[in-house]
Amino acid sequence: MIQNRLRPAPRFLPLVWLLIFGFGQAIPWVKGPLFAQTSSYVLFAAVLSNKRYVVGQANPGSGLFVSGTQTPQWQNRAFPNIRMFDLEILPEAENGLIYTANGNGVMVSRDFGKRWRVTTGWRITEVLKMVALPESPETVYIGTAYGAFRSNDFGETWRMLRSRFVYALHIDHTDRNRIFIGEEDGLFLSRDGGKTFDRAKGLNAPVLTVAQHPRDPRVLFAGTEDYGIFRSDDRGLSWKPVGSGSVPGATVYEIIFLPRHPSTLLAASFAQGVLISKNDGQSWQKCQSGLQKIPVSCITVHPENPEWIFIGTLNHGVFRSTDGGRTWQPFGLSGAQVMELEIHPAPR
Amino acid sequence: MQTRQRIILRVLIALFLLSAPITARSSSFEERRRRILEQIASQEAGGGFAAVSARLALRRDLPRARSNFWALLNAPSGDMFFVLPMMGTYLYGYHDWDDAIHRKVRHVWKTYLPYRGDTENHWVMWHTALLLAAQTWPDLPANEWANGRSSQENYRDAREYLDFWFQTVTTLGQGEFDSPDYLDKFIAPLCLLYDFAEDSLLRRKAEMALHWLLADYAIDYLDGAYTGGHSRIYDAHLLDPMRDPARGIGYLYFGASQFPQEAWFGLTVYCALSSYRVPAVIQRLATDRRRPFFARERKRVRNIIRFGRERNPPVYKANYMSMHFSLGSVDGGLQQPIQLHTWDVTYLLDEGRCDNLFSLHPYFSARELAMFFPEPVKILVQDIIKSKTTYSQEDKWTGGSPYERTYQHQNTIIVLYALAPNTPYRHMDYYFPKTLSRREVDSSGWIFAQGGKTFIAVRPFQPGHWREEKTAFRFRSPHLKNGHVTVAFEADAFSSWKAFKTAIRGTHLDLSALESRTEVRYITLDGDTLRFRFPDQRWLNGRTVDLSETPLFDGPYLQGDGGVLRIMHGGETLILDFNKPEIRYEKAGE
Repeated sequence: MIQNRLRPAPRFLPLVWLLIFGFGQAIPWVKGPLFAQTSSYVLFAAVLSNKRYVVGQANPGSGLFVSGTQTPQWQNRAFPNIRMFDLEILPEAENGLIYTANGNGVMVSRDFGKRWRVTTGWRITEVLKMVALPESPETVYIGTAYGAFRSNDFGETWRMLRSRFVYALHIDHTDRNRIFIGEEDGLFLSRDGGKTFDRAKGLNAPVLTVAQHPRDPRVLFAGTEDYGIFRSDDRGLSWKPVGSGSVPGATVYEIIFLPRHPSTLLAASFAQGVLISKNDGQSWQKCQSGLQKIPVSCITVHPENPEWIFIGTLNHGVFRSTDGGRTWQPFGLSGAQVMELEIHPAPR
Repeated sequence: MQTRQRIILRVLIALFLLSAPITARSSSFEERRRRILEQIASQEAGGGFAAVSARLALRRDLPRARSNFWALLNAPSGDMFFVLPMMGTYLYGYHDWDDAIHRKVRHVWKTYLPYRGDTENHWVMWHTALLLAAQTWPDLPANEWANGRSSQENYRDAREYLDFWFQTVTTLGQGEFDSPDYLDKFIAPLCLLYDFAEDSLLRRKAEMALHWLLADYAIDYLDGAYTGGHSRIYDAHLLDPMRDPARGIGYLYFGASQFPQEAWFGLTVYCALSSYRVPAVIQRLATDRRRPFFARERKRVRNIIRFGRERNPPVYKANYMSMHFSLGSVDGGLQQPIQLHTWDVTYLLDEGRCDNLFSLHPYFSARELAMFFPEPVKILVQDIIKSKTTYSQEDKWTGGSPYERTYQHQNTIIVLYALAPNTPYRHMDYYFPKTLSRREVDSSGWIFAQGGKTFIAVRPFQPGHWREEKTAFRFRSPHLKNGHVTVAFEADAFSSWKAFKTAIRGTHLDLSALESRTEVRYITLDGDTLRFRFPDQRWLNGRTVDLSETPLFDGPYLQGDGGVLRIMHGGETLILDFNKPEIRYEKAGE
């Protein structure tokens, strides 16, 4: 979920960050201290699996990984084997609030990773998507293989909103009662905080992601499985396919707006690498140099330098572009399925 | 009774039983469990939990057992396959452990957070281990557990799931049903609950569930072989049935004419250590094969999380059991990802060995996997074949297909294939093991075979070609509309091999509607007319066969539904009533 990710840099206490990174199990191939570099930002990755995964076997580490943004120095933090699909980090909430979406359920740390708690019981499992609200951090939405849920108490108790497999989850950033849930046959919209849902018009494909314009909340884009990208100009009520060339028929896992230049959008796609549009989503170009045949699952942009773009891939780790997406270089975690990336300021 | 006192009492009972003289009444069970423990303890490389427990129980090489246990606790890995046997070895050896070991096990729960898995067996193992740990350390706060939940929270969560599972299995049916590879993953945790759960109601439910699952196994048991359709089986164990892990369970509780030397025992050690005993009526059910019988069962499909109209559609099983063979099936389609085994004829060979014939359509798809697994659809096949390497191969021998359906009546099965033109592999494969003593392709279109004392006749609906492989001859028939009739008989039902062939040649098969309606009609030797139209229309002697009316168990020895199972044999009836819950016995005439 990208909507609240690129916010002003909070000032952290270095001690808090030491506490974060003083716990958990490091992956063996990482050497040296995490911040022995000039990077002032930290990249967080939700890694679903790493090279090969079989339940019950000694698998390579997965879960929460962190690295600086200058050079890849990844470390596996928190717990190494929990099948992480998504994460939300609200550094200013509590003493550093982290929500993670995992096969085991929802894990929450309210002290930047010093202590963790699985807040869900057996009834909530295979948590795939997650949205936390910065203005009310105790509220978190999740999408699971068995439905969508909301908690208003940091994940301790849950109310079911939908009972089907959730591909995408979005909460309108100007009206929190508007909840978008992407399912296998379309997009469903609630305008009453999740009490009722209506099917959005014109979009009957599996909806994998929804992104909302940061300044004009009427404009939303949706990425689908095999049906390309759709656009809505009426707050998600009706949708039309956009783009031409390689976009129709594409599978798109995430779409983001460049926060400072929201007419520019980036999309993470399965077969076309990174797609970029500089005209409000009307046309899209592939940015594949260095990414041939690598499926891209998630994407984020450096808060200070929009030329720096990081992408997570399916089975190929993380890549970085320092030229606005024209070329890409591996950025570690080779072989990993990276489901989500977030960047937050590092301690000074 | 306090937790530790209960554990010590249970362990002492188990040890007493192990050391007790072998009496006439219990000799066979005691011998079998001792032999299993000897086998596990003698494994040279046996540093695993099972070997530790076996050595402890046999009072053999105790320092080594302790050091092995310590080493294992130093490196937690393997999720529920670690914590379940860890708790088993810890609890059955409780009085042997010093304070350092007690602290070490506690430390594992404080620092190690396993993935709790995504299958039924994973969850039963995980929640059993968690419950037993939570009751062993009942009053610890959240920060003493790796998952950040207090002892009470962990206990409550595990208990709630286990109760849910008991209810599901006894009303909807098991999802990972009749699995030679996973039976032990249910029986072992239930034995642990039976021995160590403090709550008497939970212990009773564990005992009832053990009876239930073992009766379910017994009805498909043929001298060590787990016969018929399986929700999950690995290729290796399908092609070499002497190696499947359920053999250890079967040998322990029912006996077999051959010790399963080649089987993987692993979790069976905890069954051998348990004070649980299978009721005699269930053991007789598993071993009395004097009279053939036909039984039906209903199970459920594993949780369908997308691309389905129903979370757990029913699975309909049928099994014809005879003295030297069994013909068993599920009704077909996609009921489990990857490892479904839809049907087979299992026949006994000399010296307690067995083998089986079966057919399949080798199907794979991202959509099938996505029905059951939540990862991104497009990478699922690629991910799965990293570990299940045969999944996408055209020569594989396990897996269901949406283009396959069966209709079994007694010792006859019709299998129909209606393959989509765009399916990756457009053929039916039929497995004829090399252990067959006869395999004759007849000019009538029938293939006649003999395995042990079983005569088998197969009539493919379309021509094909043969290929010799390591363990079998593969009959491949590349046609979109396809299938076969397969029938099996005791050899002594005929005066000779020739008489058998003559009789089968005289049966009537109507294939005139195969291409147009994917429908066939066959009149059996007994004169029953079976008509089968793909996918799910079945008629017997002109009357519709409605499988949706099938209860959980329906046959001469097992009858049950809605949480109640009646296990009947030899004038004795054992009734498991999960609605109360209670166990009752009835004798004939009562």
